[in-house]
Amino acid sequence: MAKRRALWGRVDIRDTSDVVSMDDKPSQVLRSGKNTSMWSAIDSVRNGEAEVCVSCGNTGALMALSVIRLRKLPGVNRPAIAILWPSNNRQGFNVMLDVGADIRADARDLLQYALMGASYARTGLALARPRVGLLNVGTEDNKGRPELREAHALISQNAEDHDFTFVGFVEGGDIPGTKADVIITDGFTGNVALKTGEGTASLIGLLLREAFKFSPLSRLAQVLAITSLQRLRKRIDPRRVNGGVFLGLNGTVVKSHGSADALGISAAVKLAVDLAQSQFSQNLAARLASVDAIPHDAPTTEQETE
Amino acid sequence: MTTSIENTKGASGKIVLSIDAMGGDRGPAAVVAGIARAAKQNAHLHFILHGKKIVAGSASGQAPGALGPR
Repeated sequence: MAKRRALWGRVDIRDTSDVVSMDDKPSQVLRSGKNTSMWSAIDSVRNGEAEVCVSCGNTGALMALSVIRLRKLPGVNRPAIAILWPSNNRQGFNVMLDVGADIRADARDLLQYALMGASYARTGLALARPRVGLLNVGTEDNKGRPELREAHALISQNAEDHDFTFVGFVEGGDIPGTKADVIITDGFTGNVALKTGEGTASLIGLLLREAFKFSPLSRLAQVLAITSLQRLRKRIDPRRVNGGVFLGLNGTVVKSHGSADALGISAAVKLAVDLAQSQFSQNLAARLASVDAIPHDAPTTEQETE
Repeated sequence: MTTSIENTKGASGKIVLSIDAMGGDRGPAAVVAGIARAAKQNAHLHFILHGKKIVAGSASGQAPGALGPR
């Protein structure tokens, strides 16, 4: 309770009658969600009262409402969700997107993801010139689907003008690795990778606990290793990097894990603060606007009618 | 994570965040505790908290005790 004193005079409460539940369909929320806390929270960004919105609610509904209420940035076809992934790089994390906003992405979407991801890495990881890699099943130029090879060409054409380095194709093992700071992929692949990573991390945690329980000697070893283990746990604790960022909209929305506790939510809030302070949204809009001015010979994709 | 390369606003500026208090698995209590934790570390932070007033209210003391000890 003492903690709440920190909030005295710094909170403005908006009374909302409805709540978006985890099972609500996005289309339903769009139709009848006007009185939900989620709608109201996004509208505070829409009307300029707040700089960033944070929610731990239903991801699909949050994305659908964000797109409708905030609108896509000019030139953006598909918005994306970016996350920070623990990595072996000096900054401790890599950026990966899209991790599930849209199950498809064509070459031009992947180019936009590269620009958005590089902007996010500049803000979130304080890298002046992020290295961007395109996720594929191999690093040779002839690997992967045609749109990946097309995206490869598009991204390398634009890297110089947009202050990032393109390292070409990377593989799944490079997501937590040191070859790139930003990993670009479609939302289907990204989501599978993310959940595989989370599942693997929890399996390792489980096996580690079992191994230390094996014999009296291993139990003793656990006592001796306790500080190292705590350091490891802190380093891979997903609560400390909680927060997916919706990119490509007129305004910034941070999605926290639904299961987040106070520590997780404060991590998402801190991420929101970093994005607000750096005027991330405005900088990103400027960068995306400038790419459309660059002529390139790749065919543009069909724009969604609105 | 707190430094940034792109243009930054004056560090003294007030930052307003919009927070959806509902919808998380652990309810509004976890959200309020989370923003309180962040607020303690940054004096420039202000929040607009969206949710049912009866539960969100205790955050700023407008409806003390409504949330109860959870």
